[in-house]
Amino acid sequence: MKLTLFLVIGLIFAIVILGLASLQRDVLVLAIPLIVYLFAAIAQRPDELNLKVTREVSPDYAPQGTPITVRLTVLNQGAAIDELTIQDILPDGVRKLDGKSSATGYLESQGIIELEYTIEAIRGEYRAYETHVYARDFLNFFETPHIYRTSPRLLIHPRYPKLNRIKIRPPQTRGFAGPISARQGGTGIDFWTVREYQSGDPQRQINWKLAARSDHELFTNIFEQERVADVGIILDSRERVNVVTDQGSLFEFGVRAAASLAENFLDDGNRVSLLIYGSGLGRVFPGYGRFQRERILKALSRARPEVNFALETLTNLPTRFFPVKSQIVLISPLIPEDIPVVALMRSHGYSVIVISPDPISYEAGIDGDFSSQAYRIAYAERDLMLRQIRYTGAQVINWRVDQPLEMAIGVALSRQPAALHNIRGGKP
Amino acid sequence: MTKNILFGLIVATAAIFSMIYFSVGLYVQAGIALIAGIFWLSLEIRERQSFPTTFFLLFVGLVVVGALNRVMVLLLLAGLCAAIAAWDLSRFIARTRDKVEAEMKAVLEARHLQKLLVVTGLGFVIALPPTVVNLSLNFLTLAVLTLVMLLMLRASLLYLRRDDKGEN
Repeated sequence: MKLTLFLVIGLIFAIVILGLASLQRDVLVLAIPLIVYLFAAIAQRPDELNLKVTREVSPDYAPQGTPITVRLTVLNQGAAIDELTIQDILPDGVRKLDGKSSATGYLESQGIIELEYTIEAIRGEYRAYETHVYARDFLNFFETPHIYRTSPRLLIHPRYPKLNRIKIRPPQTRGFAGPISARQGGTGIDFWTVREYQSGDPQRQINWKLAARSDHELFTNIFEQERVADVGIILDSRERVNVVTDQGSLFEFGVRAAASLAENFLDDGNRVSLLIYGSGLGRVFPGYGRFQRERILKALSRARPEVNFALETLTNLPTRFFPVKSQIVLISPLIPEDIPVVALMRSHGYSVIVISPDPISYEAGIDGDFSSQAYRIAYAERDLMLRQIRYTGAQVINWRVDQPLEMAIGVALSRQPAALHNIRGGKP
Repeated sequence: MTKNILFGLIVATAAIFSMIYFSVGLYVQAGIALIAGIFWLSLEIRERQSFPTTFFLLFVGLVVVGALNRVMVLLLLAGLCAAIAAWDLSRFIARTRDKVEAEMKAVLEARHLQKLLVVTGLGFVIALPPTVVNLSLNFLTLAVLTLVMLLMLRASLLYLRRDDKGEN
């Protein structure tokens, strides 16, 4: 119901009452065009809307930043509508790039209005879309609003950088050939040890130099087996460790790092699993290859930092979700309460790499304030915490997110030789 | 095309009223009609359709003043119909600007203009017979009629408000 309708009604009655009061026929007559105008609007008032709204989103699974085409079709299954306005409401996190997401027009019975536009969405899962429809009479006195909801799925996974191969040495490997040294003699490339020749050993593995120095004895070179390993990636999605600024969220860096690492380890043939800890326990069970990568990316697309009071600390981390003595990569900004949990994982025999997006420098970087007393105190506290975690035998990568992850990993892992971590891992 | 029709209607409205009042010696009203018309037209040309209702109300006021002064009712009716059509078209252009694609706009405009022509034309034609009919009412009938009108006004407003709440 519009204000103009009340205006016209008011005018009609004002003129009629004035005409009656002044006893002038001519004044009364003037109300007639307005009355006809009003009755035309009433006669053309839109009925109950009977529209069928369908939406197609293509592609429905894409990396962040990919242009997505949305096609909205509105079919009128009722009577003709003089003026119909369609407004497609974009969900939060979606930006229109091109095309029209709203239209106004006349829609005859069984007529169709199609909208096609291109959007760009940030990482996430989009399921609920709203289309606001307003049907009006041709004089715009009456308006029937309606909201149509459609739910085609759109999954936007993070866009992530490719990493060079990361060398890991978990205490235990799997049976299949791969790139990770297995600490077992067998076929491989790297020299492992020598033993006495046994019948059946291939001649090309005989160590002739050693044989020349001994009496009638032959020795065989043994190489270190190279296998694939189990790698578990833990992404910390606790709201309390996340830092949100106008320019984004620290959690997004963690998500991208998890995606990069998952792809890197899968490309090496490893069996990779994912645990998203914080908002709940989102799990992707161990698996290999391209399909596993898709499963992990889909899980990462849905990940969001949330408050869950049961998972405020890492104490409830189900470490047994990961195979014994496997490689664990924990991606978390970390808080001091997390130190015992990392120590516990180490004591269970896991090889642990902690990639910690640095919340202190991230927050300070917004204002460019790296010299304040507060920053220095916070940085010292964090440095102490990371030292304590390193002392447990975990490899710690303090990642300043303004630098590429590749560089942070390269620098940190070169500083902490794997041997140190292997010794502390309990198996020489 | 719709814009040109709107400009024409505003010019016609202003011209009709100023001519009527000028011919009967009401120069102030004639001047107001002329100035209002020019001002409205300039705003429409600059696509600043902020006050079409104000101009419409002004012309309705001029119509009533003219009727009370027993000015030619046929011309007043013609002026009123032109003012209604101009007001409607101004609102139509404002709400469809930049929102309708060219192809759809042509269809929408054609349909709107057709319907508007019928409605205003019908209003004018229906109002013609009463201009020659003379009714004698005594005071009591008049009082009852006024009362009925007031009750109808109240009932219609209550109905519209209730209907509006129901929709929301």
